[in-house]
Amino acid sequence: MSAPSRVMFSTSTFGALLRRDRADHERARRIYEQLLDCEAELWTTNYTLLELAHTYDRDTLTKLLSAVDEFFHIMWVGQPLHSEARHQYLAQPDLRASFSEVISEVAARRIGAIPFPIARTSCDQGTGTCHTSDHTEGT
Amino acid sequence: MKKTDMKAISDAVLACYRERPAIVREHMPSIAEALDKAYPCSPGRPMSRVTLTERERQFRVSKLQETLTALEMGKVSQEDALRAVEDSLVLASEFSLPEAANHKALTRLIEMALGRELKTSEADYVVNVSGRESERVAASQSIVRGVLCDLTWDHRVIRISVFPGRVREWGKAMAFIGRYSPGNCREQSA
Repeated sequence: MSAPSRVMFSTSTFGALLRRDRADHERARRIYEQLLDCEAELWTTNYTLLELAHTYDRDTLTKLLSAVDEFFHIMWVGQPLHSEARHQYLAQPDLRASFSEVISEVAARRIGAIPFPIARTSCDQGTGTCHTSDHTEGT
Repeated sequence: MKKTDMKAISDAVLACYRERPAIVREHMPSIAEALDKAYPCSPGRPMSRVTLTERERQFRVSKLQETLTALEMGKVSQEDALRAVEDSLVLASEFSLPEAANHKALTRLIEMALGRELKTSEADYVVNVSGRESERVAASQSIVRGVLCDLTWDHRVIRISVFPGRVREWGKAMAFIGRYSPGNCREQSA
């Protein structure tokens, strides 16, 4: 794998970085360190931030949003991207990922970014239990 | 012109530079040059891309690990440190740096190669590798945030540019890592 120049961070990515109790925390941290060191372009979407705001407390969010403001590009999801992701989401009724995870994938394709290379887990969508998904497109 | 209009224009130029750097370089070269200095690893700047054989990769990993172990014991020369930086750059471009080559270790390695600490200067500075000043730059790659290496076609370092402001950003970028503790996740505590 080549060092990516553009990487999309989804809710799962931030979950793995924020939560020390997750099995993939150390791996996610190491990848994030390398991305910072390689000065890769870090991207996320406003949908992801909204989902995180719903999940985490104010203290955690304050630290996170300060870093996002300074080091990330935010893709503001408009109607065309929303529609494309909606079609994709509805076409896969068995998909356990949240809608914002699908938005992140579609957004990543649009800008030629790769998704942050860790498996996503459904605990990031607020179900309370963690299930690793097989779906790690682009990793 | 109002201040807000000026900001809107500069934001639009910056957005264009981030999305389509080639267009800015073609039509506004002086602005592109200024932005290249402000954002040294902007998209469009050549990055080293390497495809190693498994044997080459293992060789570089083992050499790097040897140097990192020696670094722990304070037994690394400036020359060895520079060679290890070159190995790290190649491995990083493949995203195959060993675990031992973390941010802290790479920072120490670069400081050893430079012969000075990264954060001591306020101003940006450039250190040329002796005897390679006239070599042609084939690629530029960052190995530690705020440290940009110009490389020859065969991945030897020609010069190292240090941007202490960007080096110091590290702490801010890492501030949210591991912030969660059980009980402050709304959905889980509900």
